[in-house]
Amino acid sequence: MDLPRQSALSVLLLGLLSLAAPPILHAAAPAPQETAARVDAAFHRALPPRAKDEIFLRRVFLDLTGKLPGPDEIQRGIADRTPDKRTRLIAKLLHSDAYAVNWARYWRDVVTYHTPASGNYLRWELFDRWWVEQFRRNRPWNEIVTALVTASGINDEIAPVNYLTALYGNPIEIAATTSRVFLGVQIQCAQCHDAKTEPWKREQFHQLAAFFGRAKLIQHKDVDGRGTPYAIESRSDGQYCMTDKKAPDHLIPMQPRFLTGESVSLDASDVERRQALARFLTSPQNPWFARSYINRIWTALFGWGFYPTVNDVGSSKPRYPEVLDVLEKDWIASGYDMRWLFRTITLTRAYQGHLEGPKAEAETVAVCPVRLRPEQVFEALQKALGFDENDKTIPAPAPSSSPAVQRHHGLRNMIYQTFKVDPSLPQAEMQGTIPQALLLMNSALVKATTSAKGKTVLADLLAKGKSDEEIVATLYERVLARQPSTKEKSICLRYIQKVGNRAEALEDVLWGLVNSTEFLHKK
Amino acid sequence: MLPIQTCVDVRISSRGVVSRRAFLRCLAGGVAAAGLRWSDCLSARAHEIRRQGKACILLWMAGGPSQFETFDPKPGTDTQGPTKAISTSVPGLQIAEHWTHLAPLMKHAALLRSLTSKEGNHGRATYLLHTSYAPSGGIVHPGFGSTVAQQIGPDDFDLPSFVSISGTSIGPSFLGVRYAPFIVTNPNQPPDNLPAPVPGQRLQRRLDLLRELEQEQAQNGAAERVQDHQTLYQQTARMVLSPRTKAFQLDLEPDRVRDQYGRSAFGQGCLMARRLIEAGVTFVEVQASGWDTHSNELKALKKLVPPVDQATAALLADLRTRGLLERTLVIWMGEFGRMPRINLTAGRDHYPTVFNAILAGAGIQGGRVIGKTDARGIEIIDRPIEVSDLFCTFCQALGIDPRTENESNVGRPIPIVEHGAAVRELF
Repeated sequence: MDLPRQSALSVLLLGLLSLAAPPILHAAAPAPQETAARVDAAFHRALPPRAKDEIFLRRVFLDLTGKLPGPDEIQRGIADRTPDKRTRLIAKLLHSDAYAVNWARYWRDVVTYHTPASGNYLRWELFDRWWVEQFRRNRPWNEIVTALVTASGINDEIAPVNYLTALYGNPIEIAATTSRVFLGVQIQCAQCHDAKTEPWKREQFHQLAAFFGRAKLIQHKDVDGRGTPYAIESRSDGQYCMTDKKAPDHLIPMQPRFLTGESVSLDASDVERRQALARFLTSPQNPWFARSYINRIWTALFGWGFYPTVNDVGSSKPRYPEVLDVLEKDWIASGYDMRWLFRTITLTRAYQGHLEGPKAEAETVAVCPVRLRPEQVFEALQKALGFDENDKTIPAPAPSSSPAVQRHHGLRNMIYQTFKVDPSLPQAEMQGTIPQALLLMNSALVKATTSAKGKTVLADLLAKGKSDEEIVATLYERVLARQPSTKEKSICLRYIQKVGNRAEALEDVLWGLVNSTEFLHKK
Repeated sequence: MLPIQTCVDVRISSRGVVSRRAFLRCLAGGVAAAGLRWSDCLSARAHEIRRQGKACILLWMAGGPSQFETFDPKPGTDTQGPTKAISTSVPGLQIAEHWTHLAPLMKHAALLRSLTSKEGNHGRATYLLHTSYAPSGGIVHPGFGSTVAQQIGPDDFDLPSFVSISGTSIGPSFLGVRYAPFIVTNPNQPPDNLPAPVPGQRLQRRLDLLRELEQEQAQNGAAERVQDHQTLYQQTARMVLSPRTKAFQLDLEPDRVRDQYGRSAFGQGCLMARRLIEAGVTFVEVQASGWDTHSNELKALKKLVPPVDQATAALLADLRTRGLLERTLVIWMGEFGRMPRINLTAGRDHYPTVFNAILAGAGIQGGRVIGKTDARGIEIIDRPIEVSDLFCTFCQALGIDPRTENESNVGRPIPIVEHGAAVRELF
């Protein structure tokens, strides 16, 4: 395995950074433009031509804010002739509230997607708000991860403790999730036996779990209608043990030892154990910490990553290792500044370019189609069809989860539950489902909001006496954030003629756009 | 054609199981350019799967039912509480007194009284009793419904092979969304968004327009996505327009039959399960919640048991009458049992050490009672059955090899059930 070469300078910088208070761009961090240029150069291959503004606008709005650009934002973006308009837009979007919400939800779903925990184990709203706050403050990634693994207290008071209570305070689940999510290292197979495909021994997994061996899950009795929330508290003694495979009744106490070899003693307290783990996890010497974050973000933006999956950075050699080296080194120097990384990546030509045709990924470095995440589907539908999130007149049936974790409400809940998918899956494995297709095809929401009657986008356009051509163009702009091609326009106009009933035909066109592949993807 | 052949090679090399990861690897190897899709790969194996006609209904008792107040009462001991025991159609077998509908049918079902596990938390135990694996934080195992749908479900079918009624069940994980549970929120109404709000002809017209517009979009660099999307829409439209969706319409049943199952959500869910199995669905889960009786247990059970008793009995009788029980495995179980000690709020807390389950159909011999607990129901004294043994038993009844491996999301093949052996005495 390649360990990244770590310069003494960046270690020193990091030491200084941890003393400095607000994590705004550190003076010593390279300017994003400079790193972006070096990233583009390090690919050593053809970069795609600069994307048309309408493609770039939809992409950057969805990626950074999770929302579609509105018609006015598109028109303004295209009309602007200044050479640095994309750079300014990126800076503006990165400081919007929508950016914080969008990425907070990504991470909330990454760390909680697999847990079947009920509301007492996972105070979802509090945890959700905490993540938003971290992104709003642009708290450095190493601090966020430290807060999650070292949290103690009741989970309806101390938000980050929900990471641990949602995994039932179970050292095995916490170790496996922490390693997978924050390091991209799949070590959990070693829980039962030496992993077949990776260099991990069973002992190493349990040594990692031992860092959580003195963290104890406690259920609180019902206080003032709060339900029975769970807490993580410290146990004063006791050891995390591994079963001896040869003698299943025999338990072997495990000394906490990190994957890179650092350890603490068996006497270490819970606080000492988890703080030591946080230091080892987030150390610049840790070969996976920065890489796995960069790989995740890159994958979410490009639809492909340096490694085949975001969960598996540990066992294979990356594609474009030089690019990853540049990003890793400079991101560590930035003090794990999340906005810095987004800005750098979105400033690259690789990101701002676009290639049409089926071979985009194979022949050049370009953004590939990425499925919208559940919250983004909701935002896109709402913006395209212009409905009120709290409209109670539209039924919002959703698959109820049992045990019921409090998720969203109403229409947002319906979309969220129907479209939810593990954000850590590779794009090739994210597939649409029948309930998703049924929702977009037949739901009361889509029926009501694509109607030519009532208070709808279409009814409004018809009332204003717009021509068929104008209406088709507006619908494309609202739903797909672009103008229709000449061919598309003619398909729609021909369809309207053939159907004979203008209002019905336009409803069908709008239905068709909402049900299209393009609507559900970012490219 | 060459690409299909490549795909078949991949399949054979992983022991006859379609390997998603291997398929993706084969895509990475350049087959993608030839336009081969995952769904093509699946349809290519159609001829290999023998349609066995077997099916499974899981009656899931969410919350963990008490063995004392269900099928392992201990009358006359301090652990039992006031619930009495009644005789059944099996000589010498007694069950708790409120199960009056089921008692005469016990000769057609087998009872497992010695199930045991270590998972006393609802979420973890629900996962265990749906997958045969304890949650591990990394690998996500497919739910049994998805596994059964993948293993023995028909390849070409216009309804989903796995339907979950009144609950979400556990998803397909690495088996792929094709085997995801189709969820019916409320059996008394059609599934969400299943009826089209426009006439079939207009839906068809819309789909044609969509296809035409998508061809334009496909040329802008998303051809594969469009193809997947179109496949999904064809499949969905086929379902929306299929006459088989009548299986979801309970108002087509005579009132008499609906009354036999009971008008509770669980009763009507069981009736829908029978209709779905009849229509060719492979796996149906019906959930009854409320078994988490930490306080005032007797009062809760008075409401809880009668509809479940009535519906379970009606389902077994109906399946038998229609000749469906021979090919349908019926499972009644929850995630764990409850404490022998009655707590201070007159309830029982979680107890994974002992719990029970009922199995019937698909070759399971009726009237068998497996396993024994001590006089006070505290420990198992004969024939402990681990969850993996239970799942091997399900597999045997359904004609599935429990050691069949599927490629997982962590790049390691995962057997359907890793350990254990089927309970032979049941067959």
